[in-house]
Amino acid sequence: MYNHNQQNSPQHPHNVMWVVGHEVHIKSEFHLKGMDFTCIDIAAAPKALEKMEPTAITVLYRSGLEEHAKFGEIKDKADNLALPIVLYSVEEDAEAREVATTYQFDDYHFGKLSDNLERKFDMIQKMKEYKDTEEEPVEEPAGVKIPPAKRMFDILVAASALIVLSPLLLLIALIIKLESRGPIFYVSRRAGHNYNVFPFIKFRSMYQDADARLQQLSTHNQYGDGIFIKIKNDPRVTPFGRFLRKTSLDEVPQLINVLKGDMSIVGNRPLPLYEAEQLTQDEVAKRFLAPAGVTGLWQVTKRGKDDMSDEERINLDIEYARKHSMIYDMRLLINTIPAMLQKEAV
Amino acid sequence: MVYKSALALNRHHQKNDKPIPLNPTKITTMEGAKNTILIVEDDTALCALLTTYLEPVYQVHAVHNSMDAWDWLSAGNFPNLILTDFKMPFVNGMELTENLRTSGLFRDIPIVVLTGSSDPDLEEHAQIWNIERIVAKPFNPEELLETIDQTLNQANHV
Repeated sequence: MYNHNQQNSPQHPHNVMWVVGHEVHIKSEFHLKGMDFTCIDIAAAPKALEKMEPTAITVLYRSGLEEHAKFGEIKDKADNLALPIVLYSVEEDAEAREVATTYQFDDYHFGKLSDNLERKFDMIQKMKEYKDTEEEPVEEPAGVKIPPAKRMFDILVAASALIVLSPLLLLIALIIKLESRGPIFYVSRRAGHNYNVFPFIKFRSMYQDADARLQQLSTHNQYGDGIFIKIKNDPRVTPFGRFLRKTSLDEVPQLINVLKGDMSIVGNRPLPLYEAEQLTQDEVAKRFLAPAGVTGLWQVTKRGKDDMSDEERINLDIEYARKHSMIYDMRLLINTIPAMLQKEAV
Repeated sequence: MVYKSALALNRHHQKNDKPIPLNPTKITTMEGAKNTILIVEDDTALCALLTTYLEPVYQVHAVHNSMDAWDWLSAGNFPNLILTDFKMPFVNGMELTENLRTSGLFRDIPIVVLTGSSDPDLEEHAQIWNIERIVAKPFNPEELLETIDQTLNQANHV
């Protein structure tokens, strides 16, 4: 059964100061829905606040009265005492909304004095209590930005590597074309830093209908039913493709992505979308708040090991998101070389 | 999926001859301008990710708790939609959304709730308080964008 009052509720019953205009004749005290109301004339209200010590304030709104000028004063007092203050009108009134907004009342209420009002006081009170205890600086939520130095390094490395390797790349392109039908490159959509989705370029290492066959092969997945899909001695891979993968040469076209600014040399691996969309949740989303890169912490830490769990990989990505800096990147880059040399066919 | 179409952000304007003066953010409801979205999410990384992801399309204001959300709202800001987490410390999404719905100021703002776990209470809560959409975490950001867009369109057409 749905329970309305499952939150721990502050003081009850509420002792509500009911602020009214000069001309309103109303009983000076009344009890309603678990709340005790005491009526106070608006002129006397600011002073009476200290004596009466209410738990909440309701200001009765009536249009066109000069008493509105007093609202600011009452609101300030309420703020000082951390009291919930709500503007109320019998009928819904656009002007009352405007007044409530202008004087920044905690809320505006109209119609019946229902249970909602009591619960509203509770929550506003709760929020004000929180404010009294928590005064931590609020950091602006922002995505990751690639520092200019990193970007310059990326362009320099990617451009020179592409120039130096260009004869080799042309040869690879030719062999791919000759070996099996299909394009030279395999382009897939991947999510990089800030979940920026971009066309991720690799040399094609599989036969053309590889993606369609993935479903049938899912039983051979060496990582179990995890997020990351990798299959041992995958029959979809062409013989030359196997060589490309073994030497990591299939990854080289990513340097074009680096030049474009989609990703960096060092960073978290850009993820295929089916993997990426599993990580848009608390605790792990941080892995996207780091540059995406060709090589990174998890490649260096345990390159090619079958026993790394999804969780370990994600944690390494998050660790990189916390630590990344130019110096850290350089260290990872240097460590990538031995890691690549040790790499076995995976 | 829970959906309620009875939204009328401009209903109040029609009642009176004199229109309510628009807040700066309210102007964004006009055609061609960006809609404003308030994001309430306590996981700072996810909050940053959502902000960065939605910013090209919407005017985004993001906060990490219900308290800051309410402060921003009662300071006179009026978003076209609120995207809020459900499980949050101190004042959770259940309390926040209930208080939005019982507010004379904010009750018509469409709400999309992001939730980490399937909570039977949430389903019921969503029905009672007319929460437009519930999106489960983890979510596909492209689909979330679509959901937000649809919710805004439905709200604007009533």
